[in-house]
Amino acid sequence: MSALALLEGVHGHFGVLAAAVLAHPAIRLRRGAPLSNGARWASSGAGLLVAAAFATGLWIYPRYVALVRPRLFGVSERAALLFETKEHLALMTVATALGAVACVWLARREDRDLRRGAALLFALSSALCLTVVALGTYIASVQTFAR
Amino acid sequence: MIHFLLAFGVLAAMGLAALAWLPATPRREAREARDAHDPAPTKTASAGEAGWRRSSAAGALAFGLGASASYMLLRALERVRDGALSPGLVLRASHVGFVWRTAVALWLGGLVALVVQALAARSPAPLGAPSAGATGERRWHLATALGVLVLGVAAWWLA
Ligand code: HEM
Repeated sequence: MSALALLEGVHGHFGVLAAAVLAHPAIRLRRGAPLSNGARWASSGAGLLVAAAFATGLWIYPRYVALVRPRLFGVSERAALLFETKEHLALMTVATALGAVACVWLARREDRDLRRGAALLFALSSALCLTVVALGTYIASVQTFAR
Repeated sequence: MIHFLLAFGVLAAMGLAALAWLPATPRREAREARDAHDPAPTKTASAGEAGWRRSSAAGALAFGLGASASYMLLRALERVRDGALSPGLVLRASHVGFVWRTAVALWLGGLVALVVQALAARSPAPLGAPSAGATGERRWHLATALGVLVLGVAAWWLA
């Protein structure tokens, strides 16, 4: 088994977990109620998972460009171009999640409106993450490090 | 398929945002009040610190949307410069382009956050503050929902 294929699997798992966990603060914060400390740490964990997915993605990216991308274009041009879309959406996923996590820690008890804004960013991040996961899984099913 | 997924993403985000308008049941209100525990209650914090926290939280939200919008703007500029996406173009590109775009977008997002933080700190009755009342809060939500919609449409175009 290659280390790159393993890392890709780990990367994908981080992504799937992040998509699920990001939905939780979106729902908890939707009316702007203050969070308990535990819930704040849980939302930070969601941010950490997306950051981990993003970081491991960046780690395998140079090898993907050199080894997988040319073969992927050979098999399916459409899938290869979809990888570009995945990149864009991944950056937006991580930026919205980090902004929302920082807001959760900074907002005061009475800042319900800002926490509702954070709920919206978490919701956006979760939906984007789900899309990125769907794209990643589809692309990896066409061509991957393991093949 | 990608367009369907993007539309689903935007609709899911807006649907969750719409949930915020549902009235809370008294039982739910009581539970949330019991659960909430702020380690630094604003009652004991100085007015300056309370204001700093509020404006910084607004800055944090602006970072999320600002970095995303900056990334799309950078990508759109590349599209205008290089023309439509083609296999040749993608195959020639190295991984460094994405890393740079990411770094610049995050930096621009930081700038947007600083500007919004400064504006919010100076504004006497910030948009959506309790003193702004229900209309102010609705305006704030409408502005955020519109932001999400614009991001969705831009992502659609770039896909
Ligand atoms: C929000 C962040 C991200 C999520 C949720 C995510 C999710 C995924 C998933 C689910 C897979 C499929 C894994 C498998 O089935 O084995 C995948 C593959 C992959 N991802 Fe990501 N990803 C993210 C960010 C990134 C970034 C920033 C990069 C690099 C620019 C990247 C590069 C890759 C590569 C190279 C593959 C393998 C594709 C292939 O084998 O054809 N990912 N990703």
